[in-house]
Amino acid sequence: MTLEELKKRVKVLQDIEEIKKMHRDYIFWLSEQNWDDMTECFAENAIIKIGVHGAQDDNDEAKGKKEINRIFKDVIGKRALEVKPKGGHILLQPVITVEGDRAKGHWDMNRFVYNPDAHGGPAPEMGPGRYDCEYIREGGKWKISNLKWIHPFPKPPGSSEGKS
Amino acid sequence: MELEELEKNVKTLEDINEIENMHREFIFWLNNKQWDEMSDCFAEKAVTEMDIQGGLNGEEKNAKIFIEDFARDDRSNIRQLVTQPVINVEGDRAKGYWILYSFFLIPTPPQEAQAHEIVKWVQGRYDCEYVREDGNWKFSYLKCTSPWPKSEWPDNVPEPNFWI
Repeated sequence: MTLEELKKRVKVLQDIEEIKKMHRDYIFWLSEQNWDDMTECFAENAIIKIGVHGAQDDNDEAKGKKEINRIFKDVIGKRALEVKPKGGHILLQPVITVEGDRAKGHWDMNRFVYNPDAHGGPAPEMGPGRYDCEYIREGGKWKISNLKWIHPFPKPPGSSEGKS
Repeated sequence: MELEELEKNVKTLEDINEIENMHREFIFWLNNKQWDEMSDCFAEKAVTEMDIQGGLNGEEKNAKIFIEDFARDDRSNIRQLVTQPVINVEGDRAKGYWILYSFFLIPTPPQEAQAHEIVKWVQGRYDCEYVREDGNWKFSYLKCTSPWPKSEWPDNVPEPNFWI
């Protein structure tokens, strides 16, 4: 094997680690509702589909970094202040593949909250979910170009994906 | 560093990444009840050992038979998460261990399946051996210990029952 081939393989491994770090930072910012830093993780023309929390309709997608920032600030952020269950997010189990300046990945992403109004009294709750993402290298940095959050994941029999 | 040694190091890093990916996919499939895909993660003569309080007593079993039994004994209310992998590779064999969290959940009305009450959770551990078979990494041995670490409870404290 040549040095050039080895450099390429090392680059892939480095890219995987950079993507993981970027997406983990994204979740740190999401948990603290730091919308401006969080939206810097998105590519200029990124698309998000995060069901009932994000777009106006389950079938809508939010497109473009500016629109994504608006959705998080004006829709998701406002709702987060209004609802009683509060908590954080945990991002685990990345499976990332890189091809040049593009990559794909999926993760387990769960919300852990304390719900003071739970049906049977105050209780810890878990919102199980999954991220399916595409990434792109933009300006030398890895960004999210497409993010889909499936919640709940797995879907229980008879339930609709993403509907409340 | 010689080119040959560098190539060996890169191959080891790639192998660790592939093993982690395979094990994470295994957990995605377990949570989503995709038993065939789970079964494909095991080498032909793989063995499992489940040391799970209240349920399984540490007996070794053929992995494919274990998956069939597990699929029949549907435990829809369990979700597993794995993290903190420590993987060591030697040629076409590897060993590794992970932290495991098992969550026992019930859907929380009225938003069935959007949020789940965490009825119980328990920390466990996976100890595994892996083998490269036809170019793909597979489990040759998988041991699940839960709870882990095992605790000695004082006589006046009833031992927790982690199994539902």
